[in-house]
Amino acid sequence: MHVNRVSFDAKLKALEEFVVQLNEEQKKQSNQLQISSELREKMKEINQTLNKNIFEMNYQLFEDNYQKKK
Amino acid sequence: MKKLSVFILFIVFGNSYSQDIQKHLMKAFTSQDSSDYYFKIAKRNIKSKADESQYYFCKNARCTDYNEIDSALVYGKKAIKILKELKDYPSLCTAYSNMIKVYRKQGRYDVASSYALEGLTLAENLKYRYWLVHFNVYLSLNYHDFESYEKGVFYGKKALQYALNKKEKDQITSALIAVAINYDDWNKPDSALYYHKKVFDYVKGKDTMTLSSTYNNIGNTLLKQKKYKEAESWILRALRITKIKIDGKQDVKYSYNLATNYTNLATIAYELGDYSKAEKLFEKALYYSKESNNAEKLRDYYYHKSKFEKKRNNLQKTVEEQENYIKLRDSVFAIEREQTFSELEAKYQNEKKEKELLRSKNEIIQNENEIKRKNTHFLILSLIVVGLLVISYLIYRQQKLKNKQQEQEFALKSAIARIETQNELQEQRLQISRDLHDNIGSQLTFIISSVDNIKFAFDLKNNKLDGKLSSISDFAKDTIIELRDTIWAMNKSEITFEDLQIRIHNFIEKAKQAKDTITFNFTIQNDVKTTKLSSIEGMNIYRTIQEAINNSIKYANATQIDIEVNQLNNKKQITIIDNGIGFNKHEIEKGNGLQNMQKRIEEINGQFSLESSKNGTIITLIIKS
Repeated sequence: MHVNRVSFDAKLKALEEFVVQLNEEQKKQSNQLQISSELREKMKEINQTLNKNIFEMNYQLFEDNYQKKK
Repeated sequence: MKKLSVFILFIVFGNSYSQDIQKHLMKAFTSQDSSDYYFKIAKRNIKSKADESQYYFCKNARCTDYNEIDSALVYGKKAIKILKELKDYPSLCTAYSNMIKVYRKQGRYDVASSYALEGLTLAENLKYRYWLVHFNVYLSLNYHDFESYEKGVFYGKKALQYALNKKEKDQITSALIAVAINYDDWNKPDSALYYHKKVFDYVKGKDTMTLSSTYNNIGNTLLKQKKYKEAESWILRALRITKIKIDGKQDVKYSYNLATNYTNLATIAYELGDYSKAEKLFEKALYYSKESNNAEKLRDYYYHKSKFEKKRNNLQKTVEEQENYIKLRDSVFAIEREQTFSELEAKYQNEKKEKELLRSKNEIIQNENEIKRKNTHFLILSLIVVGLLVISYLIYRQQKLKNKQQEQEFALKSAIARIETQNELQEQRLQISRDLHDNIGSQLTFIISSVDNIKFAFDLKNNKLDGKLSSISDFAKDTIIELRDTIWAMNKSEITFEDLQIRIHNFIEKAKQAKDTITFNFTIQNDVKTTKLSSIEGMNIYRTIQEAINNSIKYANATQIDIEVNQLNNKKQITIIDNGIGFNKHEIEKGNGLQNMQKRIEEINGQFSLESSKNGTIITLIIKS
């Protein structure tokens, strides 16, 4: 009975360690996902800014072309 | 009795005796006239001690049956001696029986009783039921003849009990007669008649000689009750049966029974006043009494004859008969004999009591042993039961523990499976993000190269347009840098301060390119270099330091920026110091940059503090790890 218990404890300890390891890994992944999520937000802002800049540039080009045709 | 002797002989001959002597002894025993001849032949054929014992045994039986008393005694004693040596107990019992018969005829009841007691002891030891009845009957008869009727009844009833258990009719009849005659002479006629008449339940006309005795005994009892006519009819019936010869032979008790019948009939005759008839009957009674060679019969005869002589006033004859009676009675009831009788009885009873005591002791010891054995069994059984209970409990506990362990194991495995699934999902999401960011990076690079190509290919005179294109190109370049920083953090599960240092150095190098008047110092305490941070911690710290340097370059006009990373107890302290113009915290509202810095540090459970004066700004970050 004692041998059985010792064997089970060892098995359980290994499993617990594995769970801890998996949890740590999950935590790391969560951090990476959080970074990814922040980057997504940042990309939205960048996208808006870039769109605005391209629009302004196009506008300027239209204006220039219009002046030249005149 | 003859039948009995022959029966015993057959038993005896069943044993391993010489065939020749068996044959001759059988002939000698059954032959009427040539008995002596066959006995002589048998004697010559004696080859062993066993043969010798059987020779004497048969001689004794023959002499007993034929009233040769002295010879019977001599052969009987020799037979008994050898049979004892050979331990031939069945033959020994028969020899005892014959010796009892002979001594009873002689009126030597003390010796007869000593043989009866020896036989009884032997029968009790060997549990010979037949002989138990037989010897008890003889003891009863001996006590009767010795006028100790109470003891006679005692042994008679004992014999009756054994006989009833054995269900042997002949033996039951013998025992009933023994009890009845004792009651009769004890002056208890009702009891006597009761036992006499009980005989009819077991005989029913088959054993005529037994009925003869019983009829005579009933007549005798009635005679004592002075019912003379009734008594006479019973005794006459007895006399008729006694006179019947079976196969032309007289019964061995023929003379004895006739002596009894005639004595009783003579007594009835003189009691009824018929003296001449009585005289004749007494003559016959005397003849058969002497013929029977039986002291008891002769004693009875003298007793009744003396009474008869007295009744008819023949005083001389009365005295003579009285003297004969007393002489015979004295020979029977001698003081020494009485003493011997008592001693024998006492000895027998003592031996019996000792045996009973021994048996009781043995029984007690056996009972004690039995109790001990039972106690031991009970103890062993209890121990086994307790052992089984303990084992059952242990098995139950073991099973329970096993179930609990299985439940725990199952819960853990389920948790592992769940976490693994989540991890896989997160990994997939991360992979998608990485792919997306890679695509964005390549698209931005395409935008930058396109814009630069436009600027290079076309001679743009419109400064505004040129500025716009440059702005898009710069913005895209900054975005790529930010994207790279983020992907760097995302691809690393752990970030050390050393990694951060390299990254920040890269950033400073670019900053130096933009403004080369600024001096940067970045120092990290050696202990802290290997400290591991999570990707989010590393990213937030990097972004905060980056923001602080940007602020110092853009707004503070600083010429010196120092970055220090130190260990402070269990915490890490990061300090960013510039020698710029500083700003008033109360006057300037916190812009997005400052707010973002504080938010990022608080998000990773750190502390953010800012001190600014005209001499510069100090930003302190304290990170718990």
